[in-house]
Amino acid sequence: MDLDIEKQISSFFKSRKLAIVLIVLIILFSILGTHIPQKSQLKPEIYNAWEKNNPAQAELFDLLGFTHLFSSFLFISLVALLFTNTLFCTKNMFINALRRYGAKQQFKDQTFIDSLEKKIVIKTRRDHKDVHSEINSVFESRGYKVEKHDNRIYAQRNSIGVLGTPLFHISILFIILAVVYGSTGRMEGDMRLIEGQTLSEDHGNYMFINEGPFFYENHKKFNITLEKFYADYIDESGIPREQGGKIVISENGQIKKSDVVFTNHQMTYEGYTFLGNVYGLAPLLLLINPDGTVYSGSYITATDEDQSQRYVSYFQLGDTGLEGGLMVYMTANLTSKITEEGVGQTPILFLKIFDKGKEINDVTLRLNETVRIGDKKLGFYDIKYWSNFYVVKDNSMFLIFTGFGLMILSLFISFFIVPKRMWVDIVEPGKNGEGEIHIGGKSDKFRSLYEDEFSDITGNLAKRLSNGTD
Amino acid sequence: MAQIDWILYLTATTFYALSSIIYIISFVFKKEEKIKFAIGTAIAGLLFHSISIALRWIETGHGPYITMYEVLSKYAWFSIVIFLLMQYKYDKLKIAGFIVLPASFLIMAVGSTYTRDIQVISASLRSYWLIAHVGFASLAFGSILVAVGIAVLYIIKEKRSKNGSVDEDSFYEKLPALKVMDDLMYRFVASGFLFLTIMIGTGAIWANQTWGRYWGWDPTETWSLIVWFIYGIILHLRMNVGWSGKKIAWFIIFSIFILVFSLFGIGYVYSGLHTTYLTT
Repeated sequence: MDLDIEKQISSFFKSRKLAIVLIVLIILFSILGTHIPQKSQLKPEIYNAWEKNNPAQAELFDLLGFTHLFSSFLFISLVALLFTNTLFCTKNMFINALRRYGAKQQFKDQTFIDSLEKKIVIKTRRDHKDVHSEINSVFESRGYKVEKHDNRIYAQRNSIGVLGTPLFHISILFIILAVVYGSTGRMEGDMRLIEGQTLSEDHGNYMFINEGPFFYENHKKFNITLEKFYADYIDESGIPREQGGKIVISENGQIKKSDVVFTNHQMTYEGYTFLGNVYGLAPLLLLINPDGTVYSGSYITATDEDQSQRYVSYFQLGDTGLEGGLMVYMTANLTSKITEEGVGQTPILFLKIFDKGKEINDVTLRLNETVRIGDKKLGFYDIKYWSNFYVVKDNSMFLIFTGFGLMILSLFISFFIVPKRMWVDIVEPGKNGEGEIHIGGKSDKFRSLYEDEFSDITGNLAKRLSNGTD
Repeated sequence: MAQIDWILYLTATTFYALSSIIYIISFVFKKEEKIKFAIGTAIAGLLFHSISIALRWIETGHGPYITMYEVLSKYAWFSIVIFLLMQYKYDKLKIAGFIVLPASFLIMAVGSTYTRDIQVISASLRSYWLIAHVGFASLAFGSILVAVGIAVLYIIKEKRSKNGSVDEDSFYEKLPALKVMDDLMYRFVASGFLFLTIMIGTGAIWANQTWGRYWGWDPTETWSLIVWFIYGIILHLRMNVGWSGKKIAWFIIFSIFILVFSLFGIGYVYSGLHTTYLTT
């Protein structure tokens, strides 16, 4: 009974039709996933706007898990089923392929050869030794590995081709496992650094962070400093790279690594990869006591939401209970040109201060200018760039790309290294002194295209050996 | 130089149009002897087309993969090159150009409607992986377009064989045997599938380099996976389920529409990371 159930499960998962059904379902779900807004892909404000405009749809899709379809239970179950199906199919496929690959000579008689689609009989008066030698020479010149036994010859080429299809399936399994391993042990986060600022690689220093269940909070706690930020970075070969930030990694006071991170140029340290991300301006606002000491203050990171080069921020003014809104822009970018003469770099700051929602100040400040707030002065004393760095730790990258490499290699083997086999049976001369050479051949794929190769080989042999063919 | 490459582009398009007309005439009126003119015209077109691409490359400082005008031009170029190589090897399949040439002409014509302004290559597009990614996309499209040409011929010949009219009609008799065409469809789809795999793989590496993740279920990525699955199904059916001939030929013909949508149409339907790149 148990065996029966085992057999049934095995035959269910071994089904090649099941693979098609599952793939079709994955395709349909994928199409659905491109039509239904996905939380993970849209900016929260865009997703929220859709949710607000389509409340009934949003509720239904959310309930079904379709708003995060590609990580939904349903989708993951389909992928898991496809994985199981592939695993069951691959097991048999791989064992059979290895058996075939390892199989030694398969000498066949004329009955077998005559049953093949590609076959020919060459008649000859040449002696046995000559015939063997000619066949050997022709087959070997075409890349066939020749083996002989008495009057029979077996030749094969591209035998490694039998491993192509199983290897392709193994690569699928490998990639799926690597993706699972990667997504469960992955860490990704955004770290915001103001020029000159140093933060340690620790959970609390990320603005947002996603950690897979097996990441285990093993942060390395090395120091990351944004030494310099370039809004228009030009690399050593003179190619403009848009924004770039020079990052310095240090541990125990020692510099371990330093590089400029820009688009398509990441920096990796201890498995952590740093990529450039959004950036903005950070004006330094200080609230000064009447005696000239600093009451409170910091660099306030302002962002350019509408790509207008105007950077906006809302902030709390220390513990005064006041709130502020600012907009700052530069008359020119803070680039390497800052030292050049004639390039205007004046920052202009528009500032509004609110007390319980009521506007109490609306001023425009230039660098080192102040505004009176009660008995204190609020001053604009410096401006720097800040930049977010997207930090990723994913140990599966190498495995995934190895899987892709294996997949490409296996497809190449499967479709372009096609196993071909030839069998020869030499029949001893009869009374008329004429012997017969029965030659048959078979290609694992593209059988009709093998015609040319077969005709070419046998034509050449016929020319060398025969006194006629039929 | 911009004017010269445009004139050459238009000249190439005109030659492809002429070649298409000759092909259609040859096919409809079964004038086999005219096919050599169609091929000659296609080769002449390709020559102008190649020079046009080369001049544009020199002028812009990057290959034909940034604007839609360049991208479409590149797809047509690859399709014609793959077709010409195929017909050189399989002489009997010259007539498959009656699908490939009009399709390439259409691609060129659509390409001519897009802006020819030179766009500065953005930092994210400055990657060798992008060149490999778009190069293999073009090879995949070219291989599958040729497979579609063969599939159409297969269906026509198969229908005539059933009617018993092939033997009387030398035009169709001169086409390769059905079995050979079946194998050739299979081989071109297999090549296309391999190129699609490399396209997805190089795209994943590029995405990882630029965005820090190899896959993000962006609509373009998702559709490329859908297309990959579809061609995977075709190969699976052909290799393991015993489908061949007409059924596979129809499947190949229908699947090209999904491929075309995934390559050219997504930018107009969805918004995503690739959208700007795929519509300008």
